[in-house]
Amino acid sequence: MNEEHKKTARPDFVSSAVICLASVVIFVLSLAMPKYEEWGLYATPSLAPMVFSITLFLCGSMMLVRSIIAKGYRISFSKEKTMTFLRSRILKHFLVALGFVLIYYVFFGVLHFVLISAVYLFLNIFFYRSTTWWKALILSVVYTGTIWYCFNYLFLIPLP
Amino acid sequence: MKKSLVIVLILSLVSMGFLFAQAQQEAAAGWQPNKTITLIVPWGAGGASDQTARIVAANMEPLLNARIAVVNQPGASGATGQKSAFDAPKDGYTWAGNADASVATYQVQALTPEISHRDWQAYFAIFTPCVITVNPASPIKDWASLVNAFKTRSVAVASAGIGAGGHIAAETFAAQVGVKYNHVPYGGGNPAVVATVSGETEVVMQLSMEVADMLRAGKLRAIAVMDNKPLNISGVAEIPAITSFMASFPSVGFNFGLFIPKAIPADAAKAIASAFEKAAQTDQVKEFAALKGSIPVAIHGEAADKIMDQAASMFGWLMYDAGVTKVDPSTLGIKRL
Amino acid sequence: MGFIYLVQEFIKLINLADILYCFGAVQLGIIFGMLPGLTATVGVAILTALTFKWDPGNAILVLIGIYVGAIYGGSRTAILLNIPGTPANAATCLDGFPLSKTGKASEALGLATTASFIGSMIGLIALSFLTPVLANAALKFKSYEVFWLAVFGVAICGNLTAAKDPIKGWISGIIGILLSFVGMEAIQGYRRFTFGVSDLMAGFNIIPVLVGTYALVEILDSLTDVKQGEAIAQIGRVVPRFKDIAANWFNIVRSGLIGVIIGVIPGVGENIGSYVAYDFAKRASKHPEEFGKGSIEGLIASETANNAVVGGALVPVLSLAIPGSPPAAVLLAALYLHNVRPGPLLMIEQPMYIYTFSAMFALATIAMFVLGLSFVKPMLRILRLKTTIMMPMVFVLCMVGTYAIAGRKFDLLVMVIFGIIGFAMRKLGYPEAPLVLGIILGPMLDENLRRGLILSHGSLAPFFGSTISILLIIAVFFTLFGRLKPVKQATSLIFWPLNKLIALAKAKSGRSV
Repeated sequence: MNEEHKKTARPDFVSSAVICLASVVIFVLSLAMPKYEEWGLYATPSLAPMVFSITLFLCGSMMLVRSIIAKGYRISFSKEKTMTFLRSRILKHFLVALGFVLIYYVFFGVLHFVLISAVYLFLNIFFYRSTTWWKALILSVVYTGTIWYCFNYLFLIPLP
Repeated sequence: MKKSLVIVLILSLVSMGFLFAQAQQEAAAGWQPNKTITLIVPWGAGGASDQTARIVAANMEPLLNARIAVVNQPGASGATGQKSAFDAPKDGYTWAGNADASVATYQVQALTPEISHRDWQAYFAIFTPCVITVNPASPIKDWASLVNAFKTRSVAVASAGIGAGGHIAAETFAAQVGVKYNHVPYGGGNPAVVATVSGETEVVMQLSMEVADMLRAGKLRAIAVMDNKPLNISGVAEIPAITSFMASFPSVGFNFGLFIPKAIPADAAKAIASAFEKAAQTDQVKEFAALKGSIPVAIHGEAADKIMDQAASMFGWLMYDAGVTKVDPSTLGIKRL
Repeated sequence: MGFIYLVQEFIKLINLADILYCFGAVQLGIIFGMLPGLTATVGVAILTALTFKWDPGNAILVLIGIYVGAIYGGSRTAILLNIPGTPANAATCLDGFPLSKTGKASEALGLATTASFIGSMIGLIALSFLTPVLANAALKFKSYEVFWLAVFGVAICGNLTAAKDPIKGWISGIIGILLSFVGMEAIQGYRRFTFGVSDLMAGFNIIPVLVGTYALVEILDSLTDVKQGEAIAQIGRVVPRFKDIAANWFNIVRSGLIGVIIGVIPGVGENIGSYVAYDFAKRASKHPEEFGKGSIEGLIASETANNAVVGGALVPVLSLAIPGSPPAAVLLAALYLHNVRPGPLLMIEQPMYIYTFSAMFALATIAMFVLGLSFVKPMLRILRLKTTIMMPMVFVLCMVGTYAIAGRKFDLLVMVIFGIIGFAMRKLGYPEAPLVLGIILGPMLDENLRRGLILSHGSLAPFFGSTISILLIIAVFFTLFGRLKPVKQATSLIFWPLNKLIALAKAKSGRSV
């Protein structure tokens, strides 16, 4: 047991518990797979998922035991800490960055490629105030336009 | 002020995007290809479907005066890629490159339950029969020793996977001769052939296209071709027709080519058909066929529909009888021939 | 004799047109390699279509150039941005990015270029002189042997992590393996874990997963935690010190050989070669604790190996018409289209072609070295861009690259979801490299295990029936238990004479430098 393991004991406790649970679910799902008669039981599609769900369970439980020894089960939720986390800049930035990505994904193929990509790029640059808005706009349109042209006409990969 | 400007800009860009999309759809009405055609090959690059599709497409490009982009979308025996070709707008700009037996059995195998083989118009360029070949070190030398080997011991037969050419051929062989075998599936035609060359399996019954070079190099020995006429591959002794040993044996072979939904505009279908007809008869396609130990054909329209119906019936029922699929072909209107 | 033929063929290539074609192609390949999602496979496939009507000589030269360039090009984004351009460069991230973070970006780029060059040269030697020998070796790898090789791959997952926590590496690797089981399996066509979703039938493509777990995670991470003025891109040495290369000669030779062997084995490509070489380098190193924190040895090992794989993978293409890696499969198709017929007949009908082909490969390798070293400084300008501008631009390329593989929107969803999963994994300390390796290894393990059992009618005995299998089993054993004390003592006793010899050789070469 070294210091590093102690530091991460709490997140390890949670993640290893989730991993153990997931491995049990996979094992049960693979039990339900059909057995084929052409070959023996050894050729069933469930063989490998079973073997690896068991290994995953072993690894997960080893970590679980380790984190329990390091007292990782003492998870305390203080209202203050949660609130600071919820109000933190990091969380806000993460959600915004992920939100832009999701918007981009949803409209990809629905709208014209140059348009949606330029909007995505512009929104990102604009949000962080990285440069003036008109520079950002020019950059976005020129950049995505060039990519669109290259792929459609030089590489022959049609983009939506 | 700045913010409102930005919003106005974004809105105007969005509306322009919709206009773009509109314009593209309208262009499809009068059929002269005005953008790149996408040819989806639902198998890996370098396979039989891929090579056929690429060579035919390259010869169609100048005739249609359009670029054709080949995209590989492998997975799920080609069903995923075939489906995405079907789901694309039916404007004649999205094609698929595949084989008759695959497209004819996706519905029976419940891979694409909602798409029938009748929804596709096939354009066949290459016919390639299955060839029974063995590892040169094997005691199997001819038809008699082949049948004898299957009757007396468990013979390992490699195939490109469940429902693939070599599997269908082996099932037909087992049913006709009345024997059992140890089916060893691989992840494609090439690995199955190589496994027989390396001696891991003793027999492989894949397509002539896939075994031609190994036969020429003497790394495999041909026993018979599953057709009613002998097969000549340059550099290899004539391969006897299987019907000369067993008159009732049906032909097992596959047609490779393009598949385009029937629902595309009629003028597009007409333009594609005439371009295909010419492309399939170019020297390049013919040379390719000869090199690959297969036969160049140029079949489309109703003749191709008939081949598809036969393939659906023959392979669909074979799979159902062998227990490979649980879907009864008669529920899909596929009659037993 | 063979060497003279090679030189003859090489001299034929020295004319302006061929050199221009080759340099152009390699530069395009480097760009493809750098763009996340666009891999060597996609690059070769696109150029196959574009060069279809060209004269065969030029077309094949261009395709080889693309292949060599793309495998190398991926190392640049791996080092600069922690985003491997192709799966083959995932192991390069482990040490390349930490080096770049400590301001040694230009040095790392130079080293990676040199290592790639040497690796490519080792591959070239194998391709031009050892093809007949290696082709026979390729056929020795049957289902049983490939199965053990895959097991070995799982075992090294524990070593592919910066933190001293092998369990997290293994967990990540096993999760990757389990994820690879999603979709229709190759033996019986059963649809595993698809829950009726038709898009899942084809399983997860490795590229969206790679782009998600590396690129998107990196993008989210740097946009979430914006530190202004972080870029530390001093331009230092680009051409590496001879001392650094000489001190690593054994590492380079070993990684090159590993790369060639992995390349020769059909169906196992550069994606695995670099991981295996990295693992060997880490265990042989005197400073294993530096691995994952910017070790030059680790960087050299993975970059030497993935380029050596290219030469190795082309061996079975030419001699047996069996591709040793996915891009080699496309190259094989292209050769057919240009009326070159690789396979067992090539040696009989056109015995000189192998030298023509090798000479093209040599020219492409030289082009890669020259272009690689000369464009380091402009590359470093990327680092001077503000993260908040550059990362969204990279993400647009990720979307394009992922979409370009198959033109499916589903792949984009896979990419986004794996980005979110990868982000959580990074925050919890699970390394992403084993996850990617696991996805590659999963089908190999599953299919070869069951196929082997079908061949043997359920008996396990043939799995232990060949020399290669036994050697691989020993390798697995030492990877898993080599760190335990009793095992360590026993091995040092057995290998004492060999270690002595190596030490002696090293001391000698050290003096001569």
